Amino acid sequence: MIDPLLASMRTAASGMQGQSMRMRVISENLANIESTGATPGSDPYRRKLVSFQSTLDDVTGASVVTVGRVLRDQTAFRSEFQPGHPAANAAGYVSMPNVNMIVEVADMREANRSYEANLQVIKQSRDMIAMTIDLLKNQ
Amino acid sequence: MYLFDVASRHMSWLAERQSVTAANIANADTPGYRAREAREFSDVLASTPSTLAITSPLHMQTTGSLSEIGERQAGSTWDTAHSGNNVSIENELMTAASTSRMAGLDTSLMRSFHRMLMTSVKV
Repeated sequence: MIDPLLASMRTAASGMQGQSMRMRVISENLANIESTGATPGSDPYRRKLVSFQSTLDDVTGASVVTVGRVLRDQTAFRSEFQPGHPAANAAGYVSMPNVNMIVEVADMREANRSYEANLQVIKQSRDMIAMTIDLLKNQ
Repeated sequence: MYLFDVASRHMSWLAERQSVTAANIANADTPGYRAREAREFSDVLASTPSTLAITSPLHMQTTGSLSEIGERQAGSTWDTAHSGNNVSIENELMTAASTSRMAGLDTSLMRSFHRMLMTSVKV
């Protein structure tokens, strides 16, 4: 078991790592919002999701967050009528990715907020350590 | 020198409280995670006497974790998400701010008490 203040910084850093991984997946989703297949009736891009888990770090004894497997969203694809598209089926419909821009942007804001909160924890822990060290100065 | 002892115990309690807060914030988006909190300092102080006499080499030092960490009480959480996670970031940031403020108070108290002590020693 290391010093609790250092453990709290370790924990917050793992939270930031998790949230940045989430941002990466969100940007992948947004970038692929129009990625369709290339052959008739083929599946387009399927939305990705991250999952978080709370685990105990064996080395430091801190409870940290780890990013689990990147999952795939199982909701149905959108379909658009585009007869000339190479991926269009016999009826002329193309299945589009199940990415919703509003959801992604909302997710992005949430990741942003959580990242900021973790950053505040690191700042505060650092200030607390600095206060203790300052006790040794100017005496 | 009782004050130094209490202040340093309070500071180590604050450090543990900060690590609990950090764990709550880091797990703000973990499904099913329940917010935790450190035991009140008054309980910690009351249940562990500040000085334990060691009269035999076989006696153990009282070191290690000061506070038990339990799940946050039902009334003190602000919201519960659909995933079963009941961490409220605002609530946790308030706790972190109060922890930081108390650490500032502790160090100021220690410094001023130390100054008083040095004044009497130097006379």
